[in-house]
Amino acid sequence: MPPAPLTAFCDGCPLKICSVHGCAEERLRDMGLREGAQVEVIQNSDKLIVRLAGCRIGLRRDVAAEIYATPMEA
Amino acid sequence: MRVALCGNPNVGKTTLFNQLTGLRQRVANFPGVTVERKAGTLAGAPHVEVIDLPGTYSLTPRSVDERIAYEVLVGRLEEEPDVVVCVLDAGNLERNLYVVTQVIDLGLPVIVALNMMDVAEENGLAVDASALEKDLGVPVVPITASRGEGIDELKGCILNPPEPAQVYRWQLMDAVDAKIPALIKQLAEEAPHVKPMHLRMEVLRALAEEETLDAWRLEAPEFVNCIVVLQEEFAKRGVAWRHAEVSGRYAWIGPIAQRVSHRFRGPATLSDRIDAVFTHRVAGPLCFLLILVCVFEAVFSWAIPAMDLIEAGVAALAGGVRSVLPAGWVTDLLTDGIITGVGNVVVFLPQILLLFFFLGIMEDSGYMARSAFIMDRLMKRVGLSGGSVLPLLSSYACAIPGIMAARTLDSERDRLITIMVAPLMSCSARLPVYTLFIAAFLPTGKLLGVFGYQGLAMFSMYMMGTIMAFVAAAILKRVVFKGPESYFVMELPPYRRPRLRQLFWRIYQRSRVFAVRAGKIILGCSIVLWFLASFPRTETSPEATQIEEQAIQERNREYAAAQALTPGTDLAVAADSVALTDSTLAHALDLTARADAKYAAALDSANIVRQSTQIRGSAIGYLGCILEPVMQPLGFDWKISAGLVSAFAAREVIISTLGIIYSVGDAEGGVALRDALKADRYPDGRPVFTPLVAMSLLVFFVFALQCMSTLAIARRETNTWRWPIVMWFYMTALAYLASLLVYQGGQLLGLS
Repeated sequence: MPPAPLTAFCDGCPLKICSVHGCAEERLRDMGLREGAQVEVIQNSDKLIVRLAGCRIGLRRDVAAEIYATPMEA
Repeated sequence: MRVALCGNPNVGKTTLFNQLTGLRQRVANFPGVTVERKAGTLAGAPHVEVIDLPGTYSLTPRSVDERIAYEVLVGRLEEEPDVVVCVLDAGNLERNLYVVTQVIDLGLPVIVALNMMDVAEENGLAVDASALEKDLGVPVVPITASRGEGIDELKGCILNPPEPAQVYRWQLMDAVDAKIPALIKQLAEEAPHVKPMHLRMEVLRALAEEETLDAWRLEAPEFVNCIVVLQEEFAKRGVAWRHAEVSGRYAWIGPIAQRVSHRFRGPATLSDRIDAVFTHRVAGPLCFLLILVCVFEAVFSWAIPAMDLIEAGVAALAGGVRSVLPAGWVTDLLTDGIITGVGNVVVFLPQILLLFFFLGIMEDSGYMARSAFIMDRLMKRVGLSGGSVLPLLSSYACAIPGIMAARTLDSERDRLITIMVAPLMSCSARLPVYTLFIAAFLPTGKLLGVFGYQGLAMFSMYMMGTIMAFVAAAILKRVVFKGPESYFVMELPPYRRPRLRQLFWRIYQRSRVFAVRAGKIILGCSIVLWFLASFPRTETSPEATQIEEQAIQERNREYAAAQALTPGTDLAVAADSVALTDSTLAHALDLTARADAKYAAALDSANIVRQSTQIRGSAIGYLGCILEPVMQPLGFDWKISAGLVSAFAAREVIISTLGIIYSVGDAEGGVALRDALKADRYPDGRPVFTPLVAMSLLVFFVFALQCMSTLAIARRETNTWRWPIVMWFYMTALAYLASLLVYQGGQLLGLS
C-alpha cells in the first residue's frame, strides 16, 4: 500500500511514518515524528492526536496532512 | 562547581531541581533576554550551583528558550557548566535521548537522570538503566523526582562527576559527512573564538537551521557562502541534508531505546479516556468554556475580601503616616502620592494570585496543553495558533504576565502579534472603572427578566475587548507581520495531579517578579502624577475660605444660643463635669455638641473644595483644559480629560482623580462620587454625564492602552521601543475612534 497522509487513517491504527514535509517538518523531527518512527492515531477529528512511544502529540490537521505513513503489519 | 539540568519539556526537570536544591533558589533573567534563569545550591553541598535550563527538544534552537539552553551549555552566556544532568522521561526514551546525544557531543561530562520510572511502570514499560548506561557510555541514575527516590544517588554522582564520554558516536550520512571537515576549517578561520570542541556542532546547526546560519552572516561571510553553495549542490544531487543530523542521531539511539525498554502490557489509557472528552470536537470547547467561566467567577468573587482588606490597610497606613509626620508637601507626597499610588496596584494582587493559581493548576495537570490544542482551530482563523491561548487568557488578569507568557511560542511572529494584542483583553485594572460607570449610569432592570442590564454591560465590555484583540491580530498578521502560515504541534503530557507545594512556590516566584517590576514603575508614576496634580500650588481658595468663615460664625451663633439657656454655667467647663442631672444643661450641651459636628463637616467640605481648586489650577487640570477641545467630540469635558491624563499611568487612577475633582474625597467608586457625577452640569444646564457619555468613556477604557507597566514589559520582551510605541498609538487611535463612533452615532440616533 502506498503511503497516505496521517489524516487518512482511522483511530487506533498502528503506522510507520514514511516521510515528513511542510513548514513544521524540523520541529516534528525534533519531537520524534520522523521517518521510520512508529505511531498510532488516537484521535482523528478536526485535529489529530497521535501516540509516539509513550507520549501523545497533538497536530493541527494541515500539519498532519503532510506526514505520510503506511499501516504496520499487526 | 556548576551543574546544569537539561532535558525535554514536561520531564519533571523542575521537580528534580526543587528536590536537589531544597528550594534554596534564586530566579533572575539571563542577561539580555527575558528567559528565567533559575539557580540554586545543591542541598548539603553549598559550593555546587545548580541551574535549571529551559526545556528543550533539541539544541538546534527554534525558540528563545532553546537558544538560551544551547548558549549556556557552550559557555556563551556564562561560564559553561562542569557537569550536565540530562533528565529523561523513561516513558519516552527515544525522543528524550536525542538531546542527550547533542549534549554528549559538546564534550561535557553528562549524567543521565532517568525520571518517571513509576509512571513508565504504571504504563507497562520497564527500562533497563544499566543497559542504557553501557550503550550510552555515561552514568544513568533511575529516579522518581516527585517522590524523591534516587535523589541521593544522583547527588553522589554529581559530586563525583564522570569524564566526558566519547563524542560523535553516531554516523552522519556519507555525502554530508564528507563535506564537514572543510566547513569546520572555514569556520575556525573566520571565528577563532569558537572552541574547537564546538566547531562540528556549530557547522551542523548552521547547515540545518536558517536562523543560525543568518547569525554567522556578518562574522563569517565566507563560511555562510560555503554552506549556501553546498546546500544548492545537495539539493541538486537529492541529498537530504536538512535532516542528516536528525537521521544520524536517531539511527544510533533508536536501536538503543528499543533494546533497553521492555513493554510488558498495553499502554495505559486513563489519559486517553479523559482526552476523549476534553479534546472532543464538541464537548472539548464546551468543557473549556465551562472551566473558564468557573475560574473567572472564582477569581473575581474570591478576591473581594482580600482586596477590601488591602484597601482598608492602605488607607489606615496613609492615615497613620499623616498623623505621625508634620503636615506639609512631603507628607502629602508620601501619603497621597506614594502610598495610595502603590496601594492602587497592590490591591489587584489577590486577583492576580488567584489567576496564577488556577492557571498553575491547569498547567500542572496537563489541561493547559489541551486548551491550546482545542482552541487552535479558532486561533488559526485570526492567524494565531493555540499557543497564544494561555498568554491571552492570562491577560484578563493583567497584561504583564500575559505578555511574559508569550515567550513559549515557537514562532517569533506569533509571539509579537500576541504581545501586540494582549493589552486589548480587559484586565482587572479596568474593572473598577467599569463598575463605577455602569453602576452610575445604566438601569438596574433585567432584560427578559433574567439578565441584568448592568451585568450584560459588563460582559459586553469583556467581549468587545476580546473580539477586537482577534480582529487586531488578523489585521496585524495580514498587514504588518506578513509571512508563511504558522504551524501548530504540541505535546500533550499525561494528566497528573498538581503538587500544591510546587504550585505555591511558583505562584510566589511569579507574583514577586510582577510586584517588583510593576511596583517600581507605579512608584515612579505615582510620584510624577502627584507632582502634576499638586503644582503649581493654588494657595488661596476664596470659596473654601468663605465656607470656613461661615462655619465659624454659625458655630459661634449656636454656642451663644446654647449659653443663653443656662446663664449661670460656663458650658465649656460643664462639658467635662459629671453632674448632668440638670435637663436644661444637658439640652444645652447637646446643642453645642451638634454645633461642633456641623463645624467639623463644614471644615471637611472646605478642604475638599480647596483640593478641587488645587487640581483645577494644577498641571493636570491645565492639561485637561488643553485636551478638552479634542475630547469634546467624544462627549468628554475638561474634568474627564484630566482624569484620562492621570489614568495614563494606570487606569484605575481616574477614579481617585475624579473623586478629587468632584470634591467627594477619596470615595473609591463610592456612592458619593456616583451622585456627584450624575449631578454635574455644564454652565448652560446640560448634564456633563449622560448614559451616552458614560458609554463613550467605557468604550474608551476598553481599547485604550493606559498602563505604563504594560509598555515597559512590552519594551523588555521585544527588546525595542518600536513595538510598545506602535501598540500605544494603535490602541489610542482605536479608543478615540470607537468612542467617537459611540458618542456621535448615539447622538444621531437621538440617544443621550
